[in-house]
Amino acid sequence: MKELTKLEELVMMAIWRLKDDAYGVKIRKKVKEIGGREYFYNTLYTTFDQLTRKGYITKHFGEPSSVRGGKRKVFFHIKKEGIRALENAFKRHTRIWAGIDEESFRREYS
Amino acid sequence: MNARKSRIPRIPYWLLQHICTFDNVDAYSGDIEEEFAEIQKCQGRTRAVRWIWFHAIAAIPQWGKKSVIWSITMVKNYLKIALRNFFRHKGYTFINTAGLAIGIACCIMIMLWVQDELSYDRFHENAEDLYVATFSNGSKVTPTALSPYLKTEYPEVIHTSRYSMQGKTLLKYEDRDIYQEGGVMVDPDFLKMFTIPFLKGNPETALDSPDSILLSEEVARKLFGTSDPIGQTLLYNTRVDLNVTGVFKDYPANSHMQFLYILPLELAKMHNRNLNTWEVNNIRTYVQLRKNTAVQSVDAKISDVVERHRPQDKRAMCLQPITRVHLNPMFHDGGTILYVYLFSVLAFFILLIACINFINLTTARSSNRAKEVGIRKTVGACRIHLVRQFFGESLLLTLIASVLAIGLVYLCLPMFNNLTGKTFTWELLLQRMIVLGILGIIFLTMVMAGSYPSLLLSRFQPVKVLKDKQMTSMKGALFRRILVVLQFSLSVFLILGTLMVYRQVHYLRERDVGYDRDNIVYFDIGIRFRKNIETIKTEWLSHSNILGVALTDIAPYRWMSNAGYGDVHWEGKTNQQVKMVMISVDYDYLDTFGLKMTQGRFFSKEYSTDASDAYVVNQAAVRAMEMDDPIGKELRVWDLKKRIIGVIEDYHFESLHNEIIPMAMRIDPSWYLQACVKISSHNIPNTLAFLEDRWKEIYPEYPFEYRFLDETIQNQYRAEQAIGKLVTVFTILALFISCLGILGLSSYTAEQRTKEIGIRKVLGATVSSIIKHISREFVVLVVIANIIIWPLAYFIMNRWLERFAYRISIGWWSFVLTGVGVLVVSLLTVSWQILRAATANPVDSLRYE
Repeated sequence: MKELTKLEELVMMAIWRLKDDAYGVKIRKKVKEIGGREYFYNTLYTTFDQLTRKGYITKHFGEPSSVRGGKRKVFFHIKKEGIRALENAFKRHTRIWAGIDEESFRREYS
Repeated sequence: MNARKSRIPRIPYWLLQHICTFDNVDAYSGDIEEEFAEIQKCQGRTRAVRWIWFHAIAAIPQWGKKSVIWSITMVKNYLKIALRNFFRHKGYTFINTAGLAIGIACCIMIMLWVQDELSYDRFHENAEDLYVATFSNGSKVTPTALSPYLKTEYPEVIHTSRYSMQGKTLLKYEDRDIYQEGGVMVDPDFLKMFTIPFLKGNPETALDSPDSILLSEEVARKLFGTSDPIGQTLLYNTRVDLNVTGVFKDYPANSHMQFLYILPLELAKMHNRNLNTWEVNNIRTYVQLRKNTAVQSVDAKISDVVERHRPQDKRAMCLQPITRVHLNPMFHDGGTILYVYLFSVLAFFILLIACINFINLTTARSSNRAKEVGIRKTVGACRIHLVRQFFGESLLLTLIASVLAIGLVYLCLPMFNNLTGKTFTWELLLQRMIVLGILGIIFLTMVMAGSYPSLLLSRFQPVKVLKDKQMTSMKGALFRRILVVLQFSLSVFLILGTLMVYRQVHYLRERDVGYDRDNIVYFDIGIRFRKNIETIKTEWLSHSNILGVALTDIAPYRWMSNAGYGDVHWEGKTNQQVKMVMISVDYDYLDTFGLKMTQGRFFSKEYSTDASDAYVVNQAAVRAMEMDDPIGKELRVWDLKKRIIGVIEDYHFESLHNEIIPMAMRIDPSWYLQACVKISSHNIPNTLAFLEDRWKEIYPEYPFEYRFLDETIQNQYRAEQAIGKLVTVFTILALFISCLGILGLSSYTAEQRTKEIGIRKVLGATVSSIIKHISREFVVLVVIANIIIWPLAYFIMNRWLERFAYRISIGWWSFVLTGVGVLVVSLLTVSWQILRAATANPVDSLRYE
């Protein structure tokens, strides 16, 4: 199983948290909210492609709406494999950051 | 907010949609629209528009990176496949490239020729403002007073110069002397008007003194070798000392004026020539107008300028741009605009024929590539990718062909120069205009040859081509047939045209001109001859091989340009307008040229009045004047009133381009400028030596320069002859390329039908019946091509022949001959391949089933 890049991780987390409402616009907002910076749509959609190819997410089509110029939404869901990848990432993070808290940094500065 | 204003901006939106490199494009653009609407609602339209633009521009780098990487990979693959295909089918590749290369080479050469024809006189810096004064009938010979008059009377005219061509003249420097043609006398303004680069000397003052002379590099080298000619004195025409005040670079060949040395016109005054008279037309007048002057306005003012001073001359005067003089069909100066069109069309035809080969072979063999197309499509190629691939292949082939073509041009240039009588050099190909032209030709070829096959091939549907093997080879068969018909129509047309040009030129050369022109030697005579002409004539005639001597002002062939036309009055004139040529002859003119009288008698010494009061006119004159009984009638041409004593049978004193015009002859010894000597065909060198000896007695300082009349007349049709040769060469090439095409097609057919032929043979068909069966297809096409093109060819050739006053009839046999010829040639080409297939052992072709 390949490791997730930072961006992939971010996007997956956004999708996971959005649950049944994970489509483009919402995902972008969520990514901004949790990742702290804005991404262009083409970057996000390229990432969706990568994640789909890796088999971590799947999609289903929503109803077309007039706000979107008659185009369907595409909702993304995390697959089992995706959850496993997130879990791996989480474990890795905890391993890496084990024993570190905000106090550790403050001590270094002083 | 109204609907129009809140709509999403089209350009960035389109960009966003079209340069994405991922799936879910629909959802993506939907998202963009949704967020755009939201931003517009919350933060206003400006922000929203800025946002979408920002997104669009940000998407470009990613797209660029991806597409470049992919296109490089694909181009490598395309190239590999293309080269494999070229090498696997060497025969077809050869036919395709050879056809295209020959076609492009022809095009380049024709372009060189056309460009040269169009470039005449354009190298002058003031070319746009330079004009030559021309009468409405096309004559450029004007009165000497015209030039100073135009300059003083009309403010639009900045410079004027007269231009008078000189005959061969003796130039002598110390012990070296040359008998040099190509001298012109001009006014000092001439050097300001025309671009004549000086190598030595000062163009501002070079012609100020009447005893100056400017030499071209060539003449300077002949006279002075390597030493500096400036300031040297040379003897002109055995009498006048002239100072060399300048040396100019050899004047370019692409000009209607040609000269090798320049003299001041003032010099002519020394020969007692009146340089300010309206009475006679004997000089050319060049005019430079102020920049941006509308020539029509000047034309309107000067149209009656000659008539004002010489009321009997009603011809209007106009200014003709010098850049048009060479191409204007009114003048037989050589190349004309008609030939430029002719050759441009020819070049296009040849290229078209070559491209049709390419199209036919590529589409016919498309089944070979069908599988490839099917597979490429199944693995995800779009149609545009395939179009790009096949277009690229034809581009590659065109480029290879172009390189070959340029090599061919390089090799053929000497031959081409020989044919056209021009001096094209290799360096010429590097000129900007020519390079652009060549690129244009390559581009045109690529588009014509590449577009249809690439569209056809890319249209294949994977399911069909991968499942069914046979159907694709039939694709475009009808279109292919139409193209073959077109190809052969063009070939037949070109052949018919060539045949016609040849027959017409031959006809003009061989047509009975109405007078005896064989074995007539003619040469210029001067004042020393005229003084005791009778004794000289008697002496010449005493030679046993000299059969006759006639004196005249102009030998028969060259009247059109030189003879004076005059207004005519006669007894009983009502209001016909007749222009008449008048020449001066002597008593022996009739017998020397073998002319016949129809009425009355010719001049005779027995009648003393003939010398002063007699005209002989030709039949055309009688017809024009509508005289029933011309003998004894009074006739006035210009101011000479005489009585008509006889009517001579019409003869062609001009080129056969023109009809016979009215003419009057008179006796006037002061106008004898040329001697025409009829010699016997027996021992000609001896006779010529005799004439030269006599000449030397009178003019020891001048060489004896003679010409044969029949040779001179042949030269009149040189333009047509050269064009004829050129057209023939290109026509043969066109036919050759067409045959290459059907050679390729037929060999492909034979290859495709190997099995069919095998089965036919097994079932008892003979070789001849198989050949008949398969070649029938091609024969039908060639026959259709013939039938389609005949009426069109007939129409166009008729139009061309109308240019000639005397012409051949087109004749049905030339059509039949051409048709049969083309049929035989194409049949031979086709059967060569089919014969190979037909004689093959059926066991081989049927073994693998």
